[in-house]
Amino acid sequence: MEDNHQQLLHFIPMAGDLMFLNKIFIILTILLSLSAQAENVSLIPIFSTANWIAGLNIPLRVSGLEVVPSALISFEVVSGSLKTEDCRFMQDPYIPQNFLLKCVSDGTISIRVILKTASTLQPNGNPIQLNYGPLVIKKIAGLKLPSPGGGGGGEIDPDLIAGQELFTSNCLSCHTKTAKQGRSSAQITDAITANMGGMGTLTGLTSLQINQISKYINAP
Amino acid sequence: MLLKRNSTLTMIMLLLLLGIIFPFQNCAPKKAQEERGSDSGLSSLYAYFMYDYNSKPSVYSNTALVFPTDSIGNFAKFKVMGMIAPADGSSGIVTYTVDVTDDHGNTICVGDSGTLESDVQNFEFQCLGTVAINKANVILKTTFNAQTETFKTTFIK
Repeated sequence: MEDNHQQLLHFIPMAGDLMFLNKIFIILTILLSLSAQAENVSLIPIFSTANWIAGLNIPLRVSGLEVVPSALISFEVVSGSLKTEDCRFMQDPYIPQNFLLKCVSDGTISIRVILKTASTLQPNGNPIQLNYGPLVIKKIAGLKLPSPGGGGGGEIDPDLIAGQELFTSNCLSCHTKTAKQGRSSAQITDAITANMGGMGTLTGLTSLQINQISKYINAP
Repeated sequence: MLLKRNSTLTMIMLLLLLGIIFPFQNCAPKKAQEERGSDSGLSSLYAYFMYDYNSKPSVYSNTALVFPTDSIGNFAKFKVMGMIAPADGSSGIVTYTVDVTDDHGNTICVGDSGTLESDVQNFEFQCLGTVAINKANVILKTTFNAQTETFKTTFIK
């Protein structure tokens, strides 16, 4: 009887064990919510066609996640007859949700991109991995592709390009573009001078560079 | 019994660690095709995509020209193909006009115009031009949500 009682006691969890199990439950819930969120995020083509042509842009849009500017960490062709070197991938600087893919050769590809996120569901900014494909890219006999430098919607402002690069390398680790819209060059300079949030480390930026950052964050 | 409980807890801890690590495997930045380089790197990237927008694009478009392989007298049939879609991913109505010109803006082949809506995003037409044409500019004008864009694409035979 005494032995049976002792054995029974071993199966009754102690208060510490209950707290531990509670923590496990919370962690599992968080993991499940993260995986559910990742499942809903995908790359979808903006052109509704299955006939992709080598040398032409393939616009893609991220659905299910608000994408931050300069989000692209890496792009690679993971399978198919084409290699990563045959294609390139870029984020639209004006519409962060959109990306452009272009392959110069014909063949099949499946791609994988890794993006930074600032989603509220991922407050620690963990990157997200998205796959897309397979895509069949063809060449059409006699088809002439646009000549580089042929032009498009106008000339892109070089300050905007420089501003995006400066913002990515100096500011994005702490700020998003959207959150800082409306900030003037003077306000940025003041924040650096006052060492707000440790911004004193950016004293090496010239006034031209600060102007370019301001121009970029205030661009639509 | 205590030993058994400890090993069970260790197993649970290990499984939890695996559960945390597994979703993020392959998330480390890779060298392959890093697209964030210097200013000149970004400019060359935009040139590669012929991305010349200087404001938020209303539509994305692609145009392609097939130079004629045979002729009827001094004339031959050119084929112009294109795709247009709203950049916001919607399926709204896009109106377009296409002109085919030389470098001086003279028409070298009769263009086309139309409306694309719902799932229709492609246009294609043929036009007659002189055989001697070796270079052509396709001027595509699009209007979507009252925003007009002009795309000039140069094709060399």
